[in-house]
Amino acid sequence: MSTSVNIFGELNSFLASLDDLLKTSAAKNAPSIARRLGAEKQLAAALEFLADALTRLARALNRLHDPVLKADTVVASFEVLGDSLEDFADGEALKELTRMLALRNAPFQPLVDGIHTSAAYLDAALRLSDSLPDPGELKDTSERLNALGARLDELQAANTAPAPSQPTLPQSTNGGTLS
Amino acid sequence: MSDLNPSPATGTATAEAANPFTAIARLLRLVRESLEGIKRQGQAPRWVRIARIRAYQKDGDHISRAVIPAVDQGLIYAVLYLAGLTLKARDLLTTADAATAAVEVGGEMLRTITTDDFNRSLSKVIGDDGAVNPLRAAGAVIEGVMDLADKVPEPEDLDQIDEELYALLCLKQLPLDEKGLGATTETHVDLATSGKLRLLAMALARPIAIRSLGKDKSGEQEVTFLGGRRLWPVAEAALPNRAEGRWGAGEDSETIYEFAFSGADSAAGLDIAEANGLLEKMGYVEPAVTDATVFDALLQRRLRRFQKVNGLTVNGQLDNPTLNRLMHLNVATTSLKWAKPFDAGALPEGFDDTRNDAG
Repeated sequence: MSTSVNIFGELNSFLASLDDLLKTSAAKNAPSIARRLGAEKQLAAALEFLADALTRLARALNRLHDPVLKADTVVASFEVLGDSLEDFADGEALKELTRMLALRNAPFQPLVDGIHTSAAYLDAALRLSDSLPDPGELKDTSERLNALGARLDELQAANTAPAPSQPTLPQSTNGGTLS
Repeated sequence: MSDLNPSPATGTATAEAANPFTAIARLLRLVRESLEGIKRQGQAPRWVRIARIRAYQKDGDHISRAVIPAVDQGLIYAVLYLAGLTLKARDLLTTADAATAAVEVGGEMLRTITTDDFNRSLSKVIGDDGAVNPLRAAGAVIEGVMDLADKVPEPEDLDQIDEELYALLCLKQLPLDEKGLGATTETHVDLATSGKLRLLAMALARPIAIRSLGKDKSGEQEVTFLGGRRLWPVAEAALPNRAEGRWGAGEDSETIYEFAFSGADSAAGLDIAEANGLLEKMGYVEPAVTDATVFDALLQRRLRRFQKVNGLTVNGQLDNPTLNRLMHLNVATTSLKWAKPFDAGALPEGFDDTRNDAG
């Protein structure tokens, strides 16, 4: 089963791969190749589609930011409670009191049992909370999206800019552009 | 020693080693360690994660309505209550300790008198060799009383709780003699060494109640802003006009608390008023101040009196030892300590509250 944690992990991996792809020389040369093929409009449309998709994703993530942060405060509070109960749930913490009062039986056993049960429920709830995304992961994803957006903007700018003069091309005798 | 007077050594030694307050100290240590701890690498400590709710205080949704009271009215209230209880318990145990010592001395004497050996010696002295020990039965009763006295905790048993409460509640400000300290200085508190519960209260801008003030311990003062910024005797406009506690470094750092001390609806002078309020509730009403929101020479004189009575360095400053002692905390021993109320008798004759300690 996919949890939101591995969904965010996979999304981050995907965005990283996409970023790597856009950093390759092939991707960087895409505008000039498109220009040669007369496919600038198609490339522009593709880049716009990708940028639009990433923008939508970034907006969705922004909407998630506050609820995730709020939920994390609840999780952190319960983690403190859980950590505090843990030591009491095994009865160790109350042993000294029993010993000090020279009590033979385990007078605190019902209390320890109650704490043990509560701690078990809390532990189960906290395990469920593991599937919540961490605010840090959201931040990572947002940063990757911003970086990708900037790279797409660069490509789009290169695609729509007038073609640079290419003195090295022997066939370009009049200095004109390819478009 | 006869069988009728068995040595209680083994049982008593076990009881003496036990500390009834260990469970509470352990619980407090777990709370503190958990607040300061992280669950996953790269994650902020829990107290920072909880403090983030400050940004949503006005939302009034279910999460804000659950987390804020749990921290403010639950955790912080309980720890402050426990701190008050610990201080009172120490007073009681100090008294009880003297009583226990008296019982132990008296009991040891009585125990000796009830032994068969002692009775035989006495019988020989009075020439009645065959007498049966008439105090034999009393021996068991005395043992019972001694055993009970052994179970009364000692004041030192509270030390562990004291340390943990201090670690949760103390406030450590940066040095007052920092170069360049002025109206534009925004950072004032060392978040790493300050008590995380105190910082959480500041993050939520919620007051903490300092109780048991004054001779009859009936005084109470709420403190929200005091400690958030450094204060020194100068006009309000020259004091820091903003205080911000930031956790982390660089772009990733985040605000834990922030107080504005200038402009409309700001807390200008309120921290000074809280300091004056604490002093007054403890009977330090002289000299009378003309404006409780100003840190002037009059407040300095009050502070010197407080410092002298409480055995602190007399310098008229709201330094860390003074600031914390106003809230029943002892920086020198990292434990709790009552802030002593004003007592004219505790001031040496001719004490001049306009002068600092020499050196």
